[in-house]
Amino acid sequence: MWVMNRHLTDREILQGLDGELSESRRSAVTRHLDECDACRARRAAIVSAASATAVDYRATNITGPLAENSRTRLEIALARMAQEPGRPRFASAPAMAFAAVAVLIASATIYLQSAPETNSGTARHRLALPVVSITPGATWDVSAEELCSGTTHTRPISAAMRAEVLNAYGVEGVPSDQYELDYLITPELGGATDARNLWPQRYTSSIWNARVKDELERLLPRLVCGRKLDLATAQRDMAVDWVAAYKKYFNTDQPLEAHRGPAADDDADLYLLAEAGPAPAIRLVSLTAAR
Amino acid sequence: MSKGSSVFGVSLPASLLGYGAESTASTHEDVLHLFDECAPGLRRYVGAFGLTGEVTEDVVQEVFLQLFRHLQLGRSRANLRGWIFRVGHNLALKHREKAARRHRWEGTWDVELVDRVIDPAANPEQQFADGRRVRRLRAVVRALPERDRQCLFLRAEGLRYRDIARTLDISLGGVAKSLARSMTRLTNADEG
Repeated sequence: MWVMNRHLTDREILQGLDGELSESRRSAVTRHLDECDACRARRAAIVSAASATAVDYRATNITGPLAENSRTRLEIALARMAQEPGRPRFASAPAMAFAAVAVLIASATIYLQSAPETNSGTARHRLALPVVSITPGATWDVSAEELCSGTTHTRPISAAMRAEVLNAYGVEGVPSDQYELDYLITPELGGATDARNLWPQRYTSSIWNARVKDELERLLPRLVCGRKLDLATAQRDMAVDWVAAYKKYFNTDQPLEAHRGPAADDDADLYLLAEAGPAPAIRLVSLTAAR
Repeated sequence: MSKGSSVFGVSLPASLLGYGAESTASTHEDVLHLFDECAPGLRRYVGAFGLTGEVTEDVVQEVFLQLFRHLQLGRSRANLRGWIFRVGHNLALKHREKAARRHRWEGTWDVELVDRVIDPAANPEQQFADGRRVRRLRAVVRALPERDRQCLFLRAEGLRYRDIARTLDISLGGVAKSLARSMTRLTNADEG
């Protein structure tokens, strides 16, 4: 048996604390600590300094848009790798190029096929959200008063604009009955007819589908015009994460029973019928950082 | 995940993927699970190399893509947390060398989060004392040789000594010695 006839070293104390001592040393160190006030005091000092340092270090969380979009970026890259098994891609694409990468890889198959709803958890609902870099959201420069008096500035979606959005999401070849070309921020909330505010939302992919979003789109203008909600907040909530907004305003974790079911066909193209007056300036909703 | 292969939460036919559908699905899930568990710590550790936010994020992405390949190839699943930090460490070094060649490395670990470990419930004198202590300890950490600091951080990330040793390519005894050296300095600062 290993006998301790001296005080413990800092190394022995720390290794003991970290469970990094061999069996024989551990019992010797334990026995010594039982009998030695000085070493127990030393151990307490080390525990205190070590834990304060570790807690301080672990409190350093790097946040920001890059970190927040990180998981989505990884999911897209993984999907791409899985599609091309023969070509390992150890992505060294600079973050700056992420927008372009996302455009290239959000292919039709990936984007529009249905996702089994087996995962609860907030990360999963991201699949129901547009790609941040393609669809940041954009609004007309209009006030709540104008909107509530019935003024909407809907413009026809030109073939070029439609093509731009579908191309960005890589869904040109997908039958149009599988998705709705949707406004991220709806015209009723001042959402602009602009490629940056349009995205192809899947009908069936998720419980968080177009049908559910429609309900939120009906609620928020009512709240804004009833002066219960600030227009900028409504626009922002819609653009940042409409699923989170739905949960917040309907006070629920799941779509309400009455809001489930087949989506109504209110493809943004229907706004083609709306009369085009003079369009106000466009405000880009720069919410990337917040999403 | 349910039956069949799911990538990006999407069903894909196995033929398209070219390998066992089940394994791809579960590998994909495993990687994302490990990402949720380890990414914040990895980002913190890699960020401490003084890399820019963009490069830090690139390293994080690269680590998990390599992890996906690693698992796809059927390599060891033992202690993946240690694996993640080891690969992250090596990639961060590589990126820093690259950046240094371009004179872009921005220096050392430096964060402005002085108040984080201060108990908000404590009285003002106590808070003041705690804040001073954190600043003192942090000054010691900053002044440590980088290798010692990395040992300390990896320990704080919960890695075992053998994983720290492999990550930093030093001996097990080297890790214990380094950590003890740092503890001696930290407690000295406490006794001030």
